[in-house]
Formats: sequence, C-alpha cells, structure tokens
Amino acid sequence: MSRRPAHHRLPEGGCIDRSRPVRFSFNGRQMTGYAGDTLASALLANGVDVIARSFKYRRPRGFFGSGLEDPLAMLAVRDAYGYDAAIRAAQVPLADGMAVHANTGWPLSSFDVGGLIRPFARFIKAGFYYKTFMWPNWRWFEPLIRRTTGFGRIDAIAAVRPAERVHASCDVLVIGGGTAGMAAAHALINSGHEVVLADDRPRLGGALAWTDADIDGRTADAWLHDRSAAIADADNIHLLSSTVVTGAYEGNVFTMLQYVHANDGVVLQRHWKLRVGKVILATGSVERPLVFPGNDRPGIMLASAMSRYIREFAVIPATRVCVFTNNDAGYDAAFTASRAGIDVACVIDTRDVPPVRLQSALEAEGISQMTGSEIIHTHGSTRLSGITVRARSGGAARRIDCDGLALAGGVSPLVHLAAHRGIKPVYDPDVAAFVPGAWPENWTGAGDVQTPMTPDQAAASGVAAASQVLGKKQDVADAVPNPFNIEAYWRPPTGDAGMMFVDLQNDVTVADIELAAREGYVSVEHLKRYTTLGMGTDQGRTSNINGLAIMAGLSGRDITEVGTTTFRPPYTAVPMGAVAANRTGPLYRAARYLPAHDIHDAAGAVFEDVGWLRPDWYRQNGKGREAAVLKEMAAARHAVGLFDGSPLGKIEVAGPDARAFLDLFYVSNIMTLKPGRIRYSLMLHVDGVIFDDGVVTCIDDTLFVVGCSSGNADAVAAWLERWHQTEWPSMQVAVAPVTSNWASIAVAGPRARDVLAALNPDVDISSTAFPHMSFREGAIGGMMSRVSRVSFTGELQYEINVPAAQGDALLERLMEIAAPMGGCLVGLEAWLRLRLEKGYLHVGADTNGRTTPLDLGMGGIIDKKPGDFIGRRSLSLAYAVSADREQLVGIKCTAAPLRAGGRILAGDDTRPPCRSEGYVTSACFSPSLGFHVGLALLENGSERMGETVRIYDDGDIIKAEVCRPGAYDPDNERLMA
Amino acid sequence: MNTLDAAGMMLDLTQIESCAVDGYAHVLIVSAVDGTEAAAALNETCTITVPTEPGTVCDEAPYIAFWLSPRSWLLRVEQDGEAAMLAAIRKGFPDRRVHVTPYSDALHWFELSGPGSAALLARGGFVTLSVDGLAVGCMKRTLIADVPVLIWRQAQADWSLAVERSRAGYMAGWFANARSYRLSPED
Repeated sequence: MSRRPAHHRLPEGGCIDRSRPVRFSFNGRQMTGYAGDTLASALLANGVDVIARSFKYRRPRGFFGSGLEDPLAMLAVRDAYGYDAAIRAAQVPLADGMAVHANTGWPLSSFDVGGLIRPFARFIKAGFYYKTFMWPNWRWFEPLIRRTTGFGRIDAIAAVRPAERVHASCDVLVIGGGTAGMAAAHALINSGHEVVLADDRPRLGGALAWTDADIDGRTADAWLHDRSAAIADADNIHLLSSTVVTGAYEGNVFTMLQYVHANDGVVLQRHWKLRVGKVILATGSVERPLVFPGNDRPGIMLASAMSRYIREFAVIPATRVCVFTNNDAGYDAAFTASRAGIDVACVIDTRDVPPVRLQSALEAEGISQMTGSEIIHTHGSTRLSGITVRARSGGAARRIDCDGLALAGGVSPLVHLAAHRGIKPVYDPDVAAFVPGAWPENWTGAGDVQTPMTPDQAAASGVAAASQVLGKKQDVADAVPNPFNIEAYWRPPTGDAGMMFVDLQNDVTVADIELAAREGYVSVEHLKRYTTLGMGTDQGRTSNINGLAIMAGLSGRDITEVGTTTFRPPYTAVPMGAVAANRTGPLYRAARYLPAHDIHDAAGAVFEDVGWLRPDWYRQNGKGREAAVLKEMAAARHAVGLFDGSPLGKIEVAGPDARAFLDLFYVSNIMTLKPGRIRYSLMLHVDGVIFDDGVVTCIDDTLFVVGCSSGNADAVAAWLERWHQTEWPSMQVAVAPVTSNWASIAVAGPRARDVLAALNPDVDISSTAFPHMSFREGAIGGMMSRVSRVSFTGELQYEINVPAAQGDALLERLMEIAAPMGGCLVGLEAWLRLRLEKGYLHVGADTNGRTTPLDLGMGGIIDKKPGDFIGRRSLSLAYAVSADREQLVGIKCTAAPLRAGGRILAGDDTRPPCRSEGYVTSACFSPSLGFHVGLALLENGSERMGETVRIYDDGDIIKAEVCRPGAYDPDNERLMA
Repeated sequence: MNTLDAAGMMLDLTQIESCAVDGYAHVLIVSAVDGTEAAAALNETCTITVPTEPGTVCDEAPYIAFWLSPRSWLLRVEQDGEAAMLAAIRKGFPDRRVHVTPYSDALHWFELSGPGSAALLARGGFVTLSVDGLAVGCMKRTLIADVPVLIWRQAQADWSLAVERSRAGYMAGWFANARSYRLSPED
C-alpha cells in the first residue's frame, strides 16, 4: 500500500491563490499553504493525517468533514490578533504566521501514550464514569480525568481578540449563501427591501464550489459568477460573509458572529444582534456518514468533504480511494477524485440496484463497483490502509487496499435555527432525514433545508422563497422526491459494535447505544445524556440521526417515534470574548456612580459595587477595613457621621387618590399620616412575603414620597405602576420615580443637629419643632432641600436631600462642619453595623423568600389597620400563623464572634448532621455594647427569649442567647433627642 | 443612511462628537388621569402642548416636550424658565391630577453628531426597534450599552441622548471605548 505522495496538492485548479503562499506552523513544524486555504485544507495539503486523539479511547483521528460539521478537527490556533483554545480547523481561513497545535495526544497527536488505554476500551463504555468513580470519592479521580479529556489547550499568554457588538435591523434575512440563498437574494435585488445575506464562509456558493451542476441551463461556475457579482453590486443587499447565524430568538431577533479577516488572522470578531422582518432559511444540509466497524480511521471522511477538498482547495486527500454510499450523491466523490487523477478503487453501494446511468458512468471512468455490499472491517493504524467488503446477503469477504474512504450516508437538513423557535423536525422516510414540518411565523425555507434537492431545484426554490417574501405568487415545480435515491442504511447487522463509531467526537459507539437500550435509556433525551451522543462541540450534526435511528431499531420503534433532541442556541460555538466584547474592566457592567463620587474617591473610599458604586469604608479613617469601620461607628455614636444615601429610592406619588392608593400597599395605616410626617412600613407581595421596607413621607394630602431600599427602587416604581394600571386604573394617581434627581446625605449622631444648624436652615430644627419621623422643606446651606428626620442608626439623624448636581457641594460643606466636631464620613459597612446594634431590619439580609411581617412581630400594627393591603389575606392563612415559622430575633454572645450564615442547631443536637431551627442573618461585634450581636430567623423565636442556642459556624459551635432585637438604646432616648 | 450602514460597516468613527448639554432645565410631568385628557387639560390650563403619539417630540418654543409614556412627558425649558414652568403647572392643577416635579438633575445629556454616530450607537443597542427605524425628529426609550436612555434624533446624523445622572460616567467611558475601534477599509 503506497503512502500519500510528498506533494498533496493538485498541479492546478481550486479556489486558492497560488501566487500568495501562506506560512504557518503545526505542532512547531513549519508548513506552507495558499491564500484561500482553510486551516484544514492546508494541513491536508501538507500531509497531516492525524490531528487529534479521540475523547475516551485515544484513537487517532483525522479530518472527517470540511466545514462546521467536522466533529474532530478542534485545534488550538494563535494568529496575530488572538488565541483560540479550540476552533474547528475547517472553518478557519489560513493566515500568515498562524501557530497551530493539536489539543489531544501526548507527546504528539500522531504518537500518543494515552493510546495504551485502548485494550481496555471495552470496559469503559457509556456510564462508566458514573458507575465506577463514585467510590470512594469522585474528587480523587476528577483531576486525572479532566487532564486526559477536553478539547481545548490553555495558553499562558493572554491574548484578547478585538471584539465588538453591533445591533441592526433589516426587512429580510437570508441565512445561507449557497445556491438557494443566492437565488433568493438575487431575486430580492431592487425589491425595496433591506436584505441581509449571511453566510458562514468567506466565499458565496456553498456546495457549488465543488459540485458539477447545471442551473438555469448554465454551468455552476457561470451561474455562481453572475449571481455573486449582481449581489455584490446591489444597494439593498448587505452581504455578511464569514458570518454564522448562531441563534434565533423571539421577535425574529438573531445573533450572528462575524469574523473580519486580515492576511494574518481574525482582526475583529463582531457579535451581531439583528432584528428581522422576514426570514429565508437556506442553510442547506450536511452529509451523514455510514456506520460500520472501524469507521473512524484517519483517511475516512465524508464524500462531500473529499469532493470539496479536491475541487475547492486542489488537495489530494488520498492516493487510492474507495467510496461507500447508500445514495447517488456518493458517486460524485468518485467521479471528482477520478477526474483529479486520484485512483478510485471501488464504489461500494449498499443498494442492490443503483441507477444504470451511474453504473455506466463508473464504467466510463474505469471504476469498479460493488452493489448490495457493506464494509465489515477497516485496516491501518494511524492511517487507513484498506477495507474489507462483503455482500450484504453474505458470501466471501474481499479486502481492498486504499488510504482514503469517502462516506455518503444521506444528508441531514440544517433545521437548527428554526428549531430554536420551537419548530420540531419531522422524519421523512422517503429521504431518510428529519425535515422541518412547519416554519415559524414570517419564515420560509429554500433549498436543501427543506428536503434534499439538486442544485437546479435549490435555485428555483430560492426564487420561490423570495417571491413569497414579496407576496407574489410563484408557481414552482414540485421537488423531485428522493432525488438521490437514498435507501436508508443505519448499521451492519453483525460485526463488532464496539468499533462502530456513531459520535466520533465523544467516542460513542453502537455498543454504547445498545447498552443504553438494555438499561432502559430509550428516550432520545436520556440516550443523549447517558451516552453523550451529540453533546460535543459539533452538536451531533453527523451523529444524531444515525444514533437515534439505531436506538429506534433496538427498541422496536420507528424513527418518528424516537424523535430528535432539542436544538438550542448557539448553533455553533461562540467565543465568550466575542459575546463580552468590550464589556471588561470598568465597562464590565453599567456601573452607577453617586453624585458626590469624586469626593468619596478623594477621601479614600473603598468602593463596593452593590448596583451602585458605594463607599464600603474610607482609608482616611483607619489602617485597614476593621480599624476604619470602628472609627466610623464611633464617630456616629459619639459625634457625627456623614453617610451618602443617594441610591435610596425616592418615588413621588401624587394625585387626588395618592393617599388611598398607597394605603393599599403598606401594612401600616397611611390614611392617618399627616402632612409633614413620616411613617416606616413594609410592602408585601400577594403571598404576604415582605417585598420591601421604607418610609412614606406625606408632603401634603396629594403628594407623598415613597422611600424604598436602593436595590428595589426600580422594582417598587414598577410595582406601583403595575397595580395602578391593572387593578385600580380608575384611581387618580401619578407615579414619578425621582431617585436620580436627588443627592441624599445622612447626618447621624449626637452632634447632628449642630451640623444642621451650621448650615443656617430657614426652618426650625429644634427637637420640638422638628421631631423624629417628620419632614421639612426649605433652604439648607443656601440649597433648596428636603430634610427628613429619620434614623437607621439609632442616633439623632437627618437626611438632607438636595438636587443631585449640588450633592458634592453639600457633602463638602458637611465635611468641613463635621470635622472639628470629631465627625467623619461613614461607609456602608459601619452604617449596617450601626443599624444592627439598634436591631433594625435590613430587607434581603434579614428576610428571605418566606418572611412575613408577622415573623417580625408586626402583627399588632397589622391588626390595627382598618383597610386592606396587598398580601393581607395571605397573612391569615394557617401557613402564615403557624408556630413553627422562623421569626426574627436578636442574639448575643460574649465568647466567640458571630457570623451571618451560621446554622442554629435543633434541640439537644451538638454536631451536624442534624436538623436546623434557623440561621443567623446578620452579625457583628458591637463596640457600644461590648459583645457580639446579631439577628436570626429562628423557629418560634418570639417565644424563646433568654434561651441559649448552639450555632454551627464553619466547624465551630458557638453558644448564644436569644434576645429581643435592639439592645442599643432600648428606650430610644438618643433617637428622640 | 440605512440601518445596516448604521450598524458599523465602513464608517469613520472619528467624526463623532459627544458633549454634555448645558443651559437647559427639565421637568417631569406625570398625569394621574388619562394621558389624552391630561394633554388637553395642560393645553387648556397652561397652554402647554405635549405630544400624545408614542415616540414623538413637540418642539414649541419656549419648550420642547418629549413623550415618555401614555401618561408622562419630559419638558425641556430654558434654565431660568424652570421655576415658572413648575409654578404654572402646579397652579393649574392644585389637586395634582397633573403632577410636575423638577428633573434637571436626574438626567445627563450627550450629543452625538457626525456620519459615524449611528454606527457608534449601533454598537450599544437597537437604535431602531423596528425596521421602520427612528425617524428624524422622533425619540424613543431604549437600551444603549445596557443603560436605559432616551434617544432623540434631531437630524440625520445628530442625536441627543439622556441617561440617568448616576450612569453618565459609565456611558461616557463606553462611548470612549466604542470609538476606539478603527475599522479597516476592507471591513
């Protein structure tokens, strides 16, 4: 058996530019290809046979396809602009200086020590990992298994390929630039519609580049040339080449990934979101292989791939080839190879009676043929060296020497994008393929994606699809049924099932499917998950149909009954870097800045992103976080602390019915709230669970300000609008979210009134004139202000609201006044600890998705409220009043630090595992009290005051006493000062 | 320029100007009653015309009124006219059936102009929510770079964008980054 010649390129032909050599390396070896090559064609042209090792059995694998259907050729590629850890070689245009490495095989993909596992292959069938490595501990085995599997190669040198995101819209999206897609786009020229034609390849034409065909009475080359030129010249057709449509979503929104190429690599990845009026799906189909023993050796590839490599890239993929087919299309590969001067040993056809015209054509080419036959064995180690063939009816086996084998098992329409929109493909036994049973709204299909077609039929179908989009009636000749005369052939009846590969990427064999059937995994979804069939990066394009057809045979069902798995976006792998694009570093997400951000920054604020960038603590207040937090707490307790509360939600609710409207949302009685007064309350969901807490300020009888938590500001405004619009539309209420219009600085501490006085307010701020929970409007420091006397710290506290543009001026002035008094800026951490000492609730931290106001001890307030409110009825249900509910309590201990998250152990249990009765929701050391304080949700907590509980905290057991929340200033003397 | 050209092909992004808008004040009007009724009442009581068609802008000196929702509008007035506008509406609607509140500090405005401005915006979101696009003189509320914006197309390549003040810093950084790409002529 002769090896492939030193030169693997035909002397002429192909779409490559021989005047422009392109140098690249593979596994460190320098190679040369041509402009117009893909990485796969260039490697083949350089004699590379083995490019990977299989996933489980470490078998040598070569090129199997010529595009996105190839399950094997995932390589690590670095070009001048970036690095891809695993990318399909057949989709990568060759670029100057490209450095390519195989991802599997040690030390080399062509010589892999891991191949020693092969004698044990029969013991590592489907489910082997799940069954074997669970004992004694999966983690013992996991590192080794992870090291030996996977398709990517991490590179220490970071390289972020430039990427950007683009949004656009168009009238018509034509997906696929093959015969049908081009015909459709051509028919839409000057139609008055903006049309996008997206194709995953750099050149239009699809299979026409390697297929002999006549279209509209002209050669394929002539048709392709004319149509390409017309499309390029058309003003209304926007051609996006090298662009994969990766997902179809509701509202006809599509995601697409476009590669912008330069001579030395992918200069830019552009991630598109395209909103579309109508869609013509012309994605064509991919060829399926045939399943037989030893069908995975390098040198075996799809017939269409062999034709493409020869015709489009002038590559000699083998010196002596055979073709194995169950339909007419396979013969094209034989003719293509023969006409390129490659020795074609034999066409093995599973059909007993192929068309006579094909037999005649073979005879004319001098190619032998075996009909009604099948391959029962293949030979070779790192390259195919021969096959053994036998008649399906039995008889003697015959060995044929060859180093290339083309497989044609029929085609599978690429219906994935339609399936993203919920369309279920249906099996058509006439063509042995799943075809779209229907189209999503405003979609139509063209070409092979509907059913296998000849190029001439595909072109007519494209024109018809365009007519449909334009609303014109177009008579189209019925497609010739089964134009390639396929006779389904799913597997040989005998032979080593463990060597019949169905999914070449995940090493799933017929034996695995048989095992799945024996163990009851007969649902196609279970089959997929149990065996990993179709779960690789190729998403099972060449394996799914064969696999489920085999399962159908094993379980005595027809293929329609078995169905297909669900296709989900993305259609093909999309680099995360392309999705993220420029959203890195400070642009990672849309940060929100305080009005006085620069002042905080200048004061050494350490910011925390909690939806807004808020100061957690200030470096100027101490060396390290803890020291600074303690100083900030001390300032608020003994002098004055300044806290920026600008993110707190502010929603104006106005109108004749504003009061009655708000009363429907709060557990407290808003009907009695007087102008100039403020009331704290809770807002519930309909199930009685706490949604938000905050204060309601009555400015006058028709204007209220809802103060809500920072994180819920948008949600509360939407909640109010939703109920107004859907339940109480007749109420005359206006909801105006004004959070961002105001800067809000809280001044807290025993010197707070002194600070406010220093701003020369034009309102009386004495304790009697401006008591706790009241509101005043006036000029403060020369700024028009809204001032609320409320407290989150337990100290005398004012919240001064000024227009946001004046926030920095106000804060600067307050800092000047407070500093001589011993005051300072206070960060979020100190602020939250101050409230914890006081025992105040922090919704979200101290509540969960079950907590109701009854769990907080607010039953008395609710009982007193005469009117209804959202969630009230739910609070009367047995579930809500059960004694077993977790209720909010205080906890304290002196011995050991409390931490949020610690579980309170049940009964007399001292060690987990045991039942838990609740958990610590917030905790800290209280400098004012001298012991650790916390809040906890504890079963029947309100009845357990004084009880000692055991808290499990990351291995330690801490004893703590249950108490009422708010040990600091229990008589509120400081608050009311 | 059609929407696909705007999406970024062969455009020179260096010609874009972005700047803050000074000299104006804004007030937010929210109606407690049906929007059409409120619009009529505003016209009758205060001689203020606000648009009632979604996405439209009413440019009637000395103010510009933007449609925000069926029951809310943003009014741009001269800075020294803010107090008078607030007072007029409050006086006209003492029961706050039509509520007005200061909004000058809530928003930060950017102005973009130049042939590449649409391309810049297309990097951040759908400038057009339908194939009909955003016509000159119209506005819409959408997301650009995941930030809620009010976008007003003043001319073919002139845009005003209003974002919440707290998000202006991020938006400015995003504009600067998006402008940093220089596409090759082949692109």
